[in-house]
Amino acid sequence: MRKISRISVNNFCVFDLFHRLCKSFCAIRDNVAVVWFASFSGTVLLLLHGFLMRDMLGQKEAIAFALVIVVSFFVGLLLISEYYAIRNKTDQLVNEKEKFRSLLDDLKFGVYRRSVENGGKFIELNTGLVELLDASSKEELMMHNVTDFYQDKKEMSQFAEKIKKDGCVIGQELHIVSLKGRKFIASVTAVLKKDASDKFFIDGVFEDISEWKKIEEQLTAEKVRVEAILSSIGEATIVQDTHGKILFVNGKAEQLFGIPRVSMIGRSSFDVIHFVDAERRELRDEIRLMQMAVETGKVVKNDKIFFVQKDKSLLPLAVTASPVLVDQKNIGLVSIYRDITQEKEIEYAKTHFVSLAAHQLRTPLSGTKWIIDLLRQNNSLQPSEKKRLDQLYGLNERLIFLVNDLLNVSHVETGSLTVEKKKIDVVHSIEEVVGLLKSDAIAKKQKIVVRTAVKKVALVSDPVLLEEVLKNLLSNAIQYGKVDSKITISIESKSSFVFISVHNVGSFIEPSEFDKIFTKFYRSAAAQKLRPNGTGLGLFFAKSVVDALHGQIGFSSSLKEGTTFYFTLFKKNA
Amino acid sequence: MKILIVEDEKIISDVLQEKLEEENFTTKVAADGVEGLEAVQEFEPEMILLDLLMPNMDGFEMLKILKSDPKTKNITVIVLSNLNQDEEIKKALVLGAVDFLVKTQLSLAEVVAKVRQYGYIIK
Repeated sequence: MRKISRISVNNFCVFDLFHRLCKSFCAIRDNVAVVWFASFSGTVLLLLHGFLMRDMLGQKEAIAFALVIVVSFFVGLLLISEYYAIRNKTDQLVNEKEKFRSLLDDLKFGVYRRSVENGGKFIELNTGLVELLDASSKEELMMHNVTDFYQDKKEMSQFAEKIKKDGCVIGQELHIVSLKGRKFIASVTAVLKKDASDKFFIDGVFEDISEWKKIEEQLTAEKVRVEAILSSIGEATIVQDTHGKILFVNGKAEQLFGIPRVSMIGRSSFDVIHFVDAERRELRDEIRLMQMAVETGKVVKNDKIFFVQKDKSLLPLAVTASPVLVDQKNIGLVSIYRDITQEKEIEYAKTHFVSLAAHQLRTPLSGTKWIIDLLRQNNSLQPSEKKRLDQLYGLNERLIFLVNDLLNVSHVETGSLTVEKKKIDVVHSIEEVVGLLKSDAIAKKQKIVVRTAVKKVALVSDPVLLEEVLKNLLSNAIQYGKVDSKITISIESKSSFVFISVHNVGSFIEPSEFDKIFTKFYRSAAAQKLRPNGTGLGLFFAKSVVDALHGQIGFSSSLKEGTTFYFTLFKKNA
Repeated sequence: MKILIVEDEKIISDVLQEKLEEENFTTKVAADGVEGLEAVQEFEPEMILLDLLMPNMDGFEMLKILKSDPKTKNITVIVLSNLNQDEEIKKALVLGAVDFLVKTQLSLAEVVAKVRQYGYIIK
């Protein structure tokens, strides 16, 4: 026993020394493995020391000593593995916590936990909330109550009531004032919760939606303005989407069609409003036309559609359908319908007048023309009498000419100038016109020369209208050409068109008058001097006719070169 | 050749008649479509110079009746009017007139020439 105690003391001293050494060596608090290893190796050394002194120990004591060492080794190992497992878990949790905290802090909106009582003290909050409420730090904000930030106390009590009743509030708009007095609108979503000790608290998300509200207000104002503009259009206006569904109807359209707005919205205009043509046939083609406007993005106009009114009578309408393009993409159709009853009546009256005037004015003129004609044939007339009759005949012819000009213009203006296409020979038409006006040229000692490389130039056009143009240009050339001069008509046949020109020397058009020469009733200075009583309608009519024949008309004029009027006609007239 | 002039304007029909008689045609004048149809029965013309706008019965109506009657449908009808709108010309030609002459555009000599031209075709 004495021996053992001595050894024990000795051993304890060595163990203790090692232990202390290792502890100080392993200054790192957490490094348990090193501590364990150091202690364990100290114990092994102790064992070695015991072994060396085995003679002094009994066998039993030696085995017990060895067992203690083995058990202590395994217990140590178990403790170390447990320690590391716990340490890993803790590290993981700390990491997770940090991750979520930074995530929440990075958010552009505020996240908070607050108490329900005592004006709502903040329990937890993120940096987003600090920024939104203009605080300098989380700590500063933590000192405030939620109620400090409400602009409107009524809103506050409503919020409290709602969350108490429903357990949550979603997207509630609240008027907020920040610590710096900045006012804004926030959207708040919050949930009422209970903690372990049955105490209520609220978790919430808080977002500044002032910008959104501003944009929303602008959009609403814009929508109201657009609707006001459409409503105040003086004509019936219907807006449809690309599938033909009606999106908007203004008051005028309600009035015109006698259908309430609610019955039209969401339906196709052709389903709700009964349109037909003049013969009361359904307008399948018109639907196609409207679709065409949508598909091609082009404006479609039609003034030949009729609305079937309640009493089954037809109301003539003109419609202009314009596609609505946004970034080249078609998003719908705006159709404007106009009641054209009055225009139709005027048009009818005008056309009727033209027809009536033609007869009423021409009848007496043809009577005088033929009476003078008969009288002129009397061989027993004195030369002076014959001269007076010729003058009378000339005056009458001028009147006929004037009436014809006025009627031609009426035709152009009422749109009753119809083009009738036939196969014609331009050379022949020119020869006919030359034949008609030859006597006038002879009277002025002028010579008409027709220049053409070919004997026949065939094309498809309206022979009557072509002759009218030729008559106009040739009679001008005769009247404004010099006495005893040459008038040249040239025909040039190109592959797809014919070029016809009439040239004369004599009076010319001043450059300052170039742009007015085809204007209705315009008479050039030279023309007024030479023929004070011309109508100023001839060239206007000639241009209208050439336009109607899809050709082009023009002229060149100078003192040196004389005057050339020309026009072109396509051989295959569209 | 026997020519019936259907014309409500007396001055015109007088002048025409005088000129045509002078040119050795046999003529008769009727003042409107109704008189014209009666004259056709009794006078049996080979050619009719027909005005369009007339009281009682206009030229279009008279032309329609003439062309629907087998006894009168072969009479040559020349419209001699002051109307000259395309639709009117087309309508008269469709109804069976051989030509459409506008009074103000022709001298008496030219009217006679046209009458002779179609008269020659008849013979």
